[in-house]
Amino acid sequence: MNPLDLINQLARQEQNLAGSSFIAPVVPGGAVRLRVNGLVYTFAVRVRDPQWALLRTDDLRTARVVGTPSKAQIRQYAEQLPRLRVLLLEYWDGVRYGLQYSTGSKGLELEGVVPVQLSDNLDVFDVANCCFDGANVWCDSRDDSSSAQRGRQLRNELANMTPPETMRVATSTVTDRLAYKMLWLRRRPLVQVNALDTDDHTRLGRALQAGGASLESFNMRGDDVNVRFRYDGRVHNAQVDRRSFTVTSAGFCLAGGDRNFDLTSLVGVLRERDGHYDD
Amino acid sequence: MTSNVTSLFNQAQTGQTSGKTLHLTLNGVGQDIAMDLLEVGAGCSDVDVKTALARHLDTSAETFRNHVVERLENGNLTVRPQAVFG
Repeated sequence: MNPLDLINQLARQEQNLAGSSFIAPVVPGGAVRLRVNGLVYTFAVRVRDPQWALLRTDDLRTARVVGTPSKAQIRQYAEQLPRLRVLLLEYWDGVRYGLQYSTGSKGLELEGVVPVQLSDNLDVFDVANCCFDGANVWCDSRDDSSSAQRGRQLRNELANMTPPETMRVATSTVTDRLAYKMLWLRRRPLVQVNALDTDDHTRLGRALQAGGASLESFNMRGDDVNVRFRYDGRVHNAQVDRRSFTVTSAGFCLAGGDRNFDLTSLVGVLRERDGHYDD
Repeated sequence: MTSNVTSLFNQAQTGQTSGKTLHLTLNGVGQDIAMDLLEVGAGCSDVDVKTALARHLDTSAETFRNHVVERLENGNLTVRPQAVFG
């Protein structure tokens, strides 16, 4: 082709591009790339929230949202790209993650956890229909073929902190169980060692053991507990709040700072004191 | 609260956890945190431990400026306020 004809053709193409409409997923601060006859144009788009958008170009650099595409239009867009199903997890630093649920029709396989865009309206353990544009995984709909009851049961089990080993959801898959274990592990540190569902003897014993001491005896005094325990061959008495195990009386002078400590940390304080004053 | 999602994935997949625990005492209240989630071990420096705690709890490392890190024989850690003896 004559170089001048080519230039003229490109000029016409760019003229036609201004004011044209297209569909794309957009996120705040992001840009949209549009390929026309092998040429890629990048448009800045200003949006407040991530969304599927009907866009119109202002010029060759910017585009704006002019509407919301229908579900059918979104599906038509997504089907041009490799498809995958993603089991949705939770947010880490504002980013939703998921695990690939099964290989899509075009055999795409993503390993490990993947960030998933535009899944805010779906729940944890929902399965999302997604497409992959080479950089991002975009959720376009909920996968209704997976049982809603399965997701609800998994969420209930997690709310009850049922350990992964004993979690029983009849229709759960290997990926469901892996996701469940991840989210259970994530919540595990929120479980207090002094959980009130166990008896006082067990709770006191655990708290002291965590500090490297052992329980000798205890007796209740209203909301407090007098605790007698052994550490490094020594025996010590202290008073703690029955519920939180916050120290109410350390049994030695802490300059009024007794309540800064709990029973477990008091053991370390005693060791420090012994190191200071025993030599 | 943030936890490294890849770390959780690896733990869930391999089923391997060290089982070690960090006991934090803050304002007189204790809580146990699995050291795997913090990605710290007994060999980490005090600064590393406090930085990991701050990240995990979405707070400033300044929160633990007056805390001491104790290393127990069983590999667990205790992070507690400094004691002032009368």
